[in-house]
Amino acid sequence: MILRPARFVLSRWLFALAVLAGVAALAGAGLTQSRTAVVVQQLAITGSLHVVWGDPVEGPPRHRVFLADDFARTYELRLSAAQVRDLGGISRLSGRRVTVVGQTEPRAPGATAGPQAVSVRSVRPEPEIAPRAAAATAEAPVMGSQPWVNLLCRFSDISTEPHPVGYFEAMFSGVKPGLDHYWREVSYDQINIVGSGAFGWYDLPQPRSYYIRDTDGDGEDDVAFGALAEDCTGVADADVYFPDYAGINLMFNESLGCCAWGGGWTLDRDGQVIRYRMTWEPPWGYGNQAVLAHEMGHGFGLPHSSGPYENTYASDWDVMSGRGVCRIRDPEFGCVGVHTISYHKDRLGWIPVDRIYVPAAGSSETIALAPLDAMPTGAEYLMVKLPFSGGSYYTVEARRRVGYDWDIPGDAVVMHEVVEGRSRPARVVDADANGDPNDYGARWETDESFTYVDKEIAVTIEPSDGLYETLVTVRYQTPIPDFSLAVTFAGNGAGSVTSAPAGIACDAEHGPEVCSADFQLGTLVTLEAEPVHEGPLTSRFDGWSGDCEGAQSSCAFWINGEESITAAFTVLPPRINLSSMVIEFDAMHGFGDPPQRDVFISNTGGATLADLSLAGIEYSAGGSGWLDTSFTIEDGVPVGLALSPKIAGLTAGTHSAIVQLTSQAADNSPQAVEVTLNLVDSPSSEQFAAALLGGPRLQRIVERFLDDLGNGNGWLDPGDFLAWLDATGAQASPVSLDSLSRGGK
Amino acid sequence: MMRNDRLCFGLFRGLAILAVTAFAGCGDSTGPAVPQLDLVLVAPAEGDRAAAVTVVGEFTAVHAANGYRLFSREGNGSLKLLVIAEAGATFPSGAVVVATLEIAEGDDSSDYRSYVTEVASADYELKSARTYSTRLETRGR
Repeated sequence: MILRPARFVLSRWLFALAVLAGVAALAGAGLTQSRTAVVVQQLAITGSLHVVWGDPVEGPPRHRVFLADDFARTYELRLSAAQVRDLGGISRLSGRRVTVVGQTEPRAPGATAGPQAVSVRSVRPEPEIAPRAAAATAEAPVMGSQPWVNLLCRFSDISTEPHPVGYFEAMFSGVKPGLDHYWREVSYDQINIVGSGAFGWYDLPQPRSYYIRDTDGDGEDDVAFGALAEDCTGVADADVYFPDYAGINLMFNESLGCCAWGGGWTLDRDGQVIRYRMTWEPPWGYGNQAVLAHEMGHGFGLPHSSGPYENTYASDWDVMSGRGVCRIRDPEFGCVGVHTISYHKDRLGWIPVDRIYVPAAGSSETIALAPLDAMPTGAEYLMVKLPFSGGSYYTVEARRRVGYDWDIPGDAVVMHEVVEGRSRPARVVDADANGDPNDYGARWETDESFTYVDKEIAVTIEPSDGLYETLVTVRYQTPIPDFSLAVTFAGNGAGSVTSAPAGIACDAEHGPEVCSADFQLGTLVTLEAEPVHEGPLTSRFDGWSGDCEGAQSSCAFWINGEESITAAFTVLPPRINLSSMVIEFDAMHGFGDPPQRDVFISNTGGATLADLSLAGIEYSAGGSGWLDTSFTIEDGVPVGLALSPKIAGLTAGTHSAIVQLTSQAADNSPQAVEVTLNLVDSPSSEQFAAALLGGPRLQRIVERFLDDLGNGNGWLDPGDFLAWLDATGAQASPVSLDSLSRGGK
Repeated sequence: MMRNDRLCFGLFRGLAILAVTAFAGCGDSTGPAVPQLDLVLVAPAEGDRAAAVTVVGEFTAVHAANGYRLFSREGNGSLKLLVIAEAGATFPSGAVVVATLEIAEGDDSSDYRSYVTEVASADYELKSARTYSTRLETRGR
């Protein structure tokens, strides 16, 4: 059986347009072009994420997400809340290696600088490659020498120099409140910034308005982070060997929009592409040690903490929130930061495991807590972790007004509720809920108790025994019994059901099945149903019934006891594609060394074939892969792809897609080939039977489809019909000749 | 079974000896009211699930036997059937009635012929029909 050829290759002019679009996008990413890009380009990029946090003088924080590929080309990503959530939350993005598929957004009129914005269609985590980053991932501990270079850059139209170089050298010194001294104390001497330096002032090539302007019309100045990073490091490059540093503070002589900014950036300097910790500082940023410490904290990968209220900066227990109350300003370096909280210190690997108390289920024990500002020499703990649901937990820490913590609200035990995935994972537990996370409601003092869920978890602050200042009794009873959630499949369709939090992950094929998992009482569970496409057959999700009802694909409910839910799927008569799905691309050239490179395959043809997939890539050099992902090809070897379209939900008729092959290293990339689906409705059971019984024949390609669905022996026969009935669940028609009759009537 | 008043009337007029029987048959509608033929499929072994059968002759109706589904097409003095055993079942080894055919009054059942043209196994493979046979039996015999 031979498919009727139906391959459509873009004409030469259209291909040239696609190449031009790629050039335009890459030039935009290079930040130096002064024209307006108007071409929308489909991109598939693999690289590392950077989150840049913005901290304003007033108002809520900002954050921006960027992706830097392996050639230090940077894109600003427009991620949906669901995409961020699926990656573990904004606080867990920094340093993550991902592949992103999306399309470029047209630049705003007048926008001249800044990474190309990409509207993200899909994002997928990738395994980390060999470390070559000064800035580690969000999950890695931060240890040892962490020198920062401070670059002082003047906008070309502003000549002021707010502070001399010596100011910055002193600010990063080991003399209190110098930042080397500060970070040593905060990290228990596990990191230092010895070797930090300051250089400048340098003149930037452009005026401030080139870097700082309202490009999106929202009334707030936007910052061209990439242009500032490229230009400020560029003018200093002759004096600085960047690979010597873990972080770069870019100090500017005028404000940078709303905020002081901290996070990371990838630079190609001194022959090395490196992910650096990086901050962008306005004068009021480096005018206060606490602000700089806060932004460097973002550089180390820390998110914000806060009180349990809307205001991010209200907690004076943490340099990553309000930074301290700033009761006494340092005459030279302004407000000085307090310590960061135990959750953050643990996250950076600074609290040894044997200093973290995690109670056993059913236990009740009194322990000694040492103040968080110094590593204890005795048997005290620095931190208590009390898991209460899923991956969430409470922390308990003792604070006293000593060292850099001299500016905290008071001596007390402080608790935080930690829920990973939210932008501020750690939030102060404030008993009086009065909107102030620093007052007595947040300070747990002698004889006060915190309880959770009918005293299953209780923390009581005990009087000092004379040996230890802070004693805490932690009662942690056997966790509340879990309850079973049973999911039953109904209908003749195929589908899968998964849960968040994880537990349910099962599927059914054309028959009722039951799967179950246990969840804690009070857990908010979201079930997600997805019809399964088996070859040409598709199923439809018909809805939920039982303890969660509805027709939407997701269903959220609280675990209040034993729960039972049914998910129904119905198989749909398939539509049949009459077109060939074999496409070919020209060989790519210019890989250099190595001669094998990753290429990305994506569907850029719009919404109609968004589900186009590659059931098995086969190309002349061998290998396999999937759409919206990468695979390796050889320089000079043509690529052929056998596409397997997902036609679920598509109507009969024609649907087109443009399949694009992109390599960041090839001269003749991207390449695009248009494919067109020509879908027809599958025959009815009666039509199928009639064709077998000497009636009107079906289209040849339809016969082939039905044969492939059945026994694939090359012609249509009762075996194929049997398979068809089983697969589609075709029902009987009324009794009459030329129709179906069903036994038992 | 459908009641056939015209057939009952003829039986009362012509065959007095059968009148009681016919009366009983018409009255409670449990006996054959029209000439019917059982299509018997003879399988050499169990394990097959579909068979294409051609029956030569004119028919007024066709009904699937319990446990079977039928697709049929009539033309050129024959009836072509796809006989499908219900999901999870196969043809048993030996003879089994898979359908009942109604023929017109006065037709001679001996004029009817049937044969198997194709057989498929439960796993959809096409198999040889040579080892299969069929026969038509007058209903109630």
